[in-house]
Amino acid sequence: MNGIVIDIKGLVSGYRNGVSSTYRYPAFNAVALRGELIALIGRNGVGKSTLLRTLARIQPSLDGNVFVKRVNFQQISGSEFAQLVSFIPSEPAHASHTTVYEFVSMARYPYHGWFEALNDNDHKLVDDAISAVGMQNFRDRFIDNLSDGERQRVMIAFAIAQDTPIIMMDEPTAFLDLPNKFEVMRLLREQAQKGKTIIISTHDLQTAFGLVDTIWLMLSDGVRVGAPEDIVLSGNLNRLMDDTPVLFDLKSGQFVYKHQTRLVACVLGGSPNIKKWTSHALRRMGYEVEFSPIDDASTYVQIQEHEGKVQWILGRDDRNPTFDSIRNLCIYIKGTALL
Amino acid sequence: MVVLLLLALLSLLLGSVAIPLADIKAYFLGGSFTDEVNLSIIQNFRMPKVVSALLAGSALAVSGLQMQTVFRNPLAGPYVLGISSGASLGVALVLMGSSAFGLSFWGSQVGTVVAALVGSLLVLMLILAVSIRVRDIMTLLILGMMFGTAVSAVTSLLQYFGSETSLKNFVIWTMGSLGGVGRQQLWLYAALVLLGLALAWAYVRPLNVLGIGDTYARSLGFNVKQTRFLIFLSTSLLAGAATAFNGPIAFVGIAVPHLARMVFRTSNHAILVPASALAGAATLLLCDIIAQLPGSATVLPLNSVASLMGIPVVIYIVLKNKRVVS
Repeated sequence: MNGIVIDIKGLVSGYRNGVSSTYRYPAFNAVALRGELIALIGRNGVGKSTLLRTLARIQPSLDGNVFVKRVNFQQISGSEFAQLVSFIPSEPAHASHTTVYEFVSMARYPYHGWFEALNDNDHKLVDDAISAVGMQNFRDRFIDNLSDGERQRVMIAFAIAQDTPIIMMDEPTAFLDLPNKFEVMRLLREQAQKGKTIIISTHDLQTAFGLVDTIWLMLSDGVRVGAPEDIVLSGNLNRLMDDTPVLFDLKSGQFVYKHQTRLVACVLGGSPNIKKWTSHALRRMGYEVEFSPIDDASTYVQIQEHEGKVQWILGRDDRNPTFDSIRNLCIYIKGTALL
Repeated sequence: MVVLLLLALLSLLLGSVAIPLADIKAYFLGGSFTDEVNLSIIQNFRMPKVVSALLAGSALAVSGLQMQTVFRNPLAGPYVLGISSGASLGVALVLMGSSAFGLSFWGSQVGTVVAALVGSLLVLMLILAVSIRVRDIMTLLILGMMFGTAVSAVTSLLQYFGSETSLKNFVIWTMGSLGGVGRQQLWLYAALVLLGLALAWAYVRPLNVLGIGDTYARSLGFNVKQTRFLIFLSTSLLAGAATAFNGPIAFVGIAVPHLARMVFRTSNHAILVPASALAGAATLLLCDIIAQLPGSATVLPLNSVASLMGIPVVIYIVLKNKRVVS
């Protein structure tokens, strides 16, 4: 196939801790294509960072080969490799008195000898990278005074300024709130659309599933590769949830708690949105939800809309308790369950 | 730069014997002296003192800067690697070894310098050997401090058994002095310091990146261990030479790099290295002028003056940063 940027053949990552104890993650084969946005997903402690750091040559591999643009990556010199792969570690850069501009400028070091000053082209690339992440008004701010979201954007600017075909980021969305997560992912997608290959590690499944091209799912016995949808349909996602009270519900596309006994609730009437979120609440409370009347259902919820006001009625006839919010409905159901 | 020259001039002028400005002009630009004794004072005492202040000040400040950056610790200084402890042990052996072990060492000025150099070199080689094997920077910091403490313990033993006279000589050495360097030794001193400064200047970029984090340095293609090795070598040359010739001068190495950072508001070592060197030299000259107590014949211990000037700076930094470990 053309466009293969990284070809991983039997890579074994892990670390040696003293003589006797060694952590080895099973051998791994995969390719990464030009313009592909890949998320490395796995439980805490499975070795996501270790695998990513091994790919970025920050730590040595235990076995196997990685070919970057068809060259065995062990045979690439330090500064050449730094012109191919930009790696942003998960620990954020902290340095007193370092401005955003000074920090991003360092990304240009691999292109110059030690005494060669950065030239106009470098300064332009650095400026462009800072603008690309929307931080142009922050260029003279100290990186220590930035918020987590701003700092992560600067990290992406660093990777852009390094001007490499491959960008690897370890947990770029950790510690970020939802808007910042989406902003970081949007910036990374933008870079992928420009033809860069991007590999990130994350344990944030929802961000990853909505926004990446390919998932490398790290299970304890090896990596599964596929589009997010492939991973869902193969059922491997639930392998990730082994020994947890959570499972991925194929029908609703959501993570739900596993419940021992499944009660059925019927939701009747109401507009689609109200129906959807009412059933969301009932699922959260452990019910399986049907939208047509079923005889042996344990609960019936009727939704009535009157002149813009919504009412939830519990039970089949009109004399049953009526509620003006989902919260009150839930409190009542919970209360009767406790009796 | 101007401040530095003014301070140097002041330092030449002031002392237990006041020397007229005209004689200093005569020394540099040629001309006749008001008193031939003044020529000898300038040539043999004041000039070596000023030059060694310049060397020690810049050496300590730059080595302190390097250590603060490499260890990413604002309270690191030239001596975190245990270099001054090594030098102290060497000097203690020379000054007190004779009484403790009945050995007859050569307890002269040159002997002290040689012993201090050898002592700091031994500690340096130990640290460098360890730095090749150990990857984690905090482990290195702890090892450096442990070596230093162990070596100091041996020094304490020597002090315990040393005679009163030798003990006093040792204590005076630990107080630091700029006056003890002869004109001949000055060449060696200058050579060592200039070599160390040249290395520091060559490693400006790696220092910038190491200040951000080892992983960043590695991902930008730097060989971290090799880089660290050479930075340690530079630090050891600088701090080792300064300690050997002038005694363990405290606080200049910790405080001056912070002054440079605060004044220039940058962490770019292309600016910080020369700025620290100049500021270090100026600070030490100032300390020396104060230590001379202008107009009197008494000379205060240099270390006390440096500490009294340096501690407020360090306290200010700690209070201002609040978050000391980043």
